[in-house]
Amino acid sequence: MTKRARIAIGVAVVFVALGYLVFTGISRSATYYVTVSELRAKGAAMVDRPVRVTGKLDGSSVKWDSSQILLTFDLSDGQNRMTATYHGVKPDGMDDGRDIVVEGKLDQKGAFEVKNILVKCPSKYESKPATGG
Amino acid sequence: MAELGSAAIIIGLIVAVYSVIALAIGAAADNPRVVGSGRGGVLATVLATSTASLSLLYLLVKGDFSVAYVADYSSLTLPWFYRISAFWAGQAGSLLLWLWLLSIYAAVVGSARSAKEPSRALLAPRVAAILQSISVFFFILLIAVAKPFAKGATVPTDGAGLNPLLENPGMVIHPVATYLGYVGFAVPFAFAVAALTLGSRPGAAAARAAWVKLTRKWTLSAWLFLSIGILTGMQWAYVELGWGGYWAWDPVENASLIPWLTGTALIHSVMMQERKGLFKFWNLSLVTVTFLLTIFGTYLTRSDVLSSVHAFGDRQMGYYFLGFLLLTVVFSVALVAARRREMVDDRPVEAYISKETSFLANNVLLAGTAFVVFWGTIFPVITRNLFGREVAVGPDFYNRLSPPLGLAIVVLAGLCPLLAWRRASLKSFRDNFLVPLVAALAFIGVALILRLRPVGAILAFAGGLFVAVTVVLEFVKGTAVRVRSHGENPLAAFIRLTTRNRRRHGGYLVHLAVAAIIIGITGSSASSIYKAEATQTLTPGQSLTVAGYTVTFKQLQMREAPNHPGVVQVYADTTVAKGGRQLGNLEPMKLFYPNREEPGTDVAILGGLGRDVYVILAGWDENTGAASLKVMVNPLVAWIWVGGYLLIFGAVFALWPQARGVEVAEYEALRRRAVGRARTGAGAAAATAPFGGDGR
Repeated sequence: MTKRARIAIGVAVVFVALGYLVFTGISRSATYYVTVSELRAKGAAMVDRPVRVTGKLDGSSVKWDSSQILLTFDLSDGQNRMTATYHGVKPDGMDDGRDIVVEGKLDQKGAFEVKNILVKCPSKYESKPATGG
Repeated sequence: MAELGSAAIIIGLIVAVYSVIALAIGAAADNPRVVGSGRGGVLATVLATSTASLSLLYLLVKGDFSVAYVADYSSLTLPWFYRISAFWAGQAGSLLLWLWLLSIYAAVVGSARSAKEPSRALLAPRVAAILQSISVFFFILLIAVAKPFAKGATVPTDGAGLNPLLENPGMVIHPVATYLGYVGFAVPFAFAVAALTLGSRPGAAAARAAWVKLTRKWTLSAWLFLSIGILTGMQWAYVELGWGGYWAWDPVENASLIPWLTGTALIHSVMMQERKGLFKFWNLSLVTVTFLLTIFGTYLTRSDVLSSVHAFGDRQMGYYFLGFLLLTVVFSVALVAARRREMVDDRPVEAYISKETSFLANNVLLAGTAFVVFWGTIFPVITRNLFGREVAVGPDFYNRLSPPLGLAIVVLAGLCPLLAWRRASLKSFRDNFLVPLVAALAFIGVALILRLRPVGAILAFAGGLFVAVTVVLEFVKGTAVRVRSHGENPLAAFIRLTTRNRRRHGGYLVHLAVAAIIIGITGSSASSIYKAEATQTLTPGQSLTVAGYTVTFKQLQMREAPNHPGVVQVYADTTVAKGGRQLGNLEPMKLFYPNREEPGTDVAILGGLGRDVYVILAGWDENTGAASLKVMVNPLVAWIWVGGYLLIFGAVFALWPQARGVEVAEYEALRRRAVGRARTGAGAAAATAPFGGDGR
């Protein structure tokens, strides 16, 4: 076998290893990305699975309980609504009508427990994941 | 002013198109008069882009709110330098900035006509033509999609102003640096492609061999600016966004990291071509991919193709970008296919353990990492189009993959510079790496005895230590040799040693910086070491202890922001103590802006090399005066910034022009070699080149 071929094999081995890591990495950390209505439509199938939900914030629903460090708010996509609860600090930029992405899980009772809030801003590059989770 | 700006953009498009045609025809026909006319077109383009940019800046500073862009991003209360930074706060302005920079680069590159450098003179018109065709694309975007001078439907009395989050010094530097980096990679790409279009005219072979050397400073400075862009972005995220981290694997962050990774691979692999005539095809691919990734990065930030939290823009913009990317790919692939015989390496790689193979490994890993990040970033798009369902990968994906890749890259950063060319002997290996290896293993041993966890973090620290010891040892040995042989005092010896070969020692400093950055990243992300956080609502006088640091809340206060009239700050007056010793005061706050509903948050950080105490004011109860504070103790974050500054210093050190005498000797030798190789078609002369001493 030539040196060139052996080096090529070495490179190939690295790439196969990388491919394996990518594959297993994706299968472990993949989360569905859905709208509020899609989440409702799936219903029980989505319970207790990591999922990202996107929707518009209803500004009047935002409640912050400082004694419990608990934030609750409603997201809607025009057809359906859902209430989300978050044990953490309220991020900046939670204005009425703002696009919000929440990462978390739906529980048996249909409440959504948020692990991470991402506030989207449609016109300016700015917001960011609000908290590490 | 707005009319002037719009007109400048349209005139700019016309002269840019003209210059592409004139330069291409002039270069193909070797007609200096036509080339000269095309060059005039390049200068006219700069005039047009400068007029448009200065018009926009003038409108922003003056606050002419009849222009929609000004009304969106400037305001009467904004300090003047933030009004300037509003230039690149939005889509149209930042694309105009891209174009402005690119047209300036084209003019600088295209102006080369020195008889001393025939290769540069031969390539210059073609390079300028390629850069100008990229400019044409941006002109079209500014005319068709993102119009910076469009009038608004109504004229507001005051503008919306900059988003408060962008009112940070880092946000003035970050976009400009990132763009300087992005745009800069267009230059080596244009050179590489231009070299392939030369055919068999006189001097073509020498020019093909020379593109790497001619673009070294461009590539390195593009990389430097991109590094500065990423670092300032991280710092901004850390101090401004208030979630306690600096990197979230957000698509837009990834968009800057991916070309940085391939660019890092590029600045290494071009050395193989410059000195050994190796990796020619690979380098061309890499420079093309890096350029495509900078366009892709701009596209990601300018379209909503990925649901990034920062992404903005519209679909239409995306189609333009996709079209341009496709066109570039087709053009590059066709050119490479037609000219593949010009990219045969001068010689094979000789031994398994050599500088050549370590550079190969470095490139495989960097390109592999870039691919992993790229794949993770576009995964939602792929699943949406293939399976009709969006599936995203979270930070877990990257956090699983990046530690092993990062560790391997760091270990190579220690090995690569000191391995010998062609074949490393066991003795040289022992001389260079015995001490660093023992140091790293000793560290691992002690850590295991102390039962420090996690093991991955220990390995990463050991990797960083290995690199640091290797580099420091190299500096010490080199200085000692000079002290002995020249009888110089150690400081003078050290300065002469490093300035005599800026390129090599600048590179060492960058590697040392990478070691520091890896230590910082590991320390601050490997959670179980001593990172900790707690959130609690405190009444005045109460305190909260996190990882040994006691944060005491004294009271809630209110004042007008000292540097920003009209903005009200509500802050928690707190003190930080450890073991009974006062360390300082912190004022985490919320800011209330006159024309915004929601307040902004400003975190307070008590920084140090060992850890940062990071406090966020989450909210308060007006009745009781209690404040909710989130306190985080983030270890070793400062190492990232210190490493970042060292990286910038090292890269500038390497870029700084070499003192005359030394430079001439080295460059002459290189040039002889390049010419010799081009003439003989083989790199036989290369083995005797003085740079062979680089690895001893």
